[in-house]
Amino acid sequence: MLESLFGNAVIEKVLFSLLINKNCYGSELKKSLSIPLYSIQNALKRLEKGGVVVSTQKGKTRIFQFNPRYPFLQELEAFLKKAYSFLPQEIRQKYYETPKRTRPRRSGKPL
Amino acid sequence: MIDWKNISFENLAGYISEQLRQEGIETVLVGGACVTIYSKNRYQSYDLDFVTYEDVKKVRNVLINLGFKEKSGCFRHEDCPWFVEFVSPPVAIGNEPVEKLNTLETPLGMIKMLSPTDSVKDRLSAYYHWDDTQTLDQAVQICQEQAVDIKDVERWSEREEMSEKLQVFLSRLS
Repeated sequence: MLESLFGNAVIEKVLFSLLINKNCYGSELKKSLSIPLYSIQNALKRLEKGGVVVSTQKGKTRIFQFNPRYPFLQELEAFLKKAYSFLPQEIRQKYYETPKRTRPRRSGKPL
Repeated sequence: MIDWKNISFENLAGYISEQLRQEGIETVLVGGACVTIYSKNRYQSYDLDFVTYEDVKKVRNVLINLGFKEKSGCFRHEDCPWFVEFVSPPVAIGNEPVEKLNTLETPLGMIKMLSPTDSVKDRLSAYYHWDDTQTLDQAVQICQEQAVDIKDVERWSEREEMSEKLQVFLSRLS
C-alpha cells in the first residue's frame, strides 16, 4: 500500500507493527510478518539510521521502538494510522493484531 | 600537517567542518560533542556527531581523503582518539526545527553548532524521553559554564509536555 513511498514493502510492515505493538524485535517480526530475518534487520537498520526508530539491548535481544525524539513522529503516526485503517480486517489480524501472551510464564514450564 | 594523536576535540571538529565546507558541504555539530565544548571538557564525548543535508557519499569521499576509515557508519582515523559520525537530518530538538546556530572559530576552522540553549534542550530531550540522568547532568554542566536562555528551555519543555521533569532540571540549577 505504501510501498511506492517507502521504497519497499518490508518498511511498511515494520512501521505498521511498531504503530500497533509499540516495540518489536527482529525474530518476533520474522514470525509475525513471515518475512526473512535478514530483510527485517535491513529495514530496522535503515529506519534506525534515519532516526525514525531507536533500539535498546535487553539480554540478547535488540528491542526497537519509534524514536520519541524524531521530529516528524506525530505526523508519521497520524499518516500510518490512516493508512492502517485502510487495511482489510483479516490482514490486520493476521500480521499485526495476532493475540500474544503477555502474562508471565514460569521458566522451565512445558508449553 | 595534522597531529592526529594529540589534536583536541574542538580542533578536530573545526578541522572536519572546514574541510567539508571547502568541498561545498555544510555541517552542524550536534549531540554530546556540543556538551564537551560548552562544558569546557567537564563532560568528555568521544564522537563528533554532525548533521548534513548533503549526500553522504560526498561526505565519505572527503573523509576518506583525509585518512579516515569507515566502519558501521562511523569514521575513524587510526591515530585519532575521537570518531566522527553523520546523523540523519533535520537539525531539530523534539518537535521544533533549530532556527539559529552558533558558530565557533578554532585554529583549524569554523564550527557551526547548536547554541548552548539548544544543546541544553537536546540533552534534556534524552532525559525526558528515556530518564537518562547522564544527559540531565550534561544539561546542568552546560548551564554552569554558558549563558542559557532558561525561559526558552521552560517554554520548549512545556510544549513537549514535560513540565514535571523540567522541575527536576530547574532544581538542579539552584
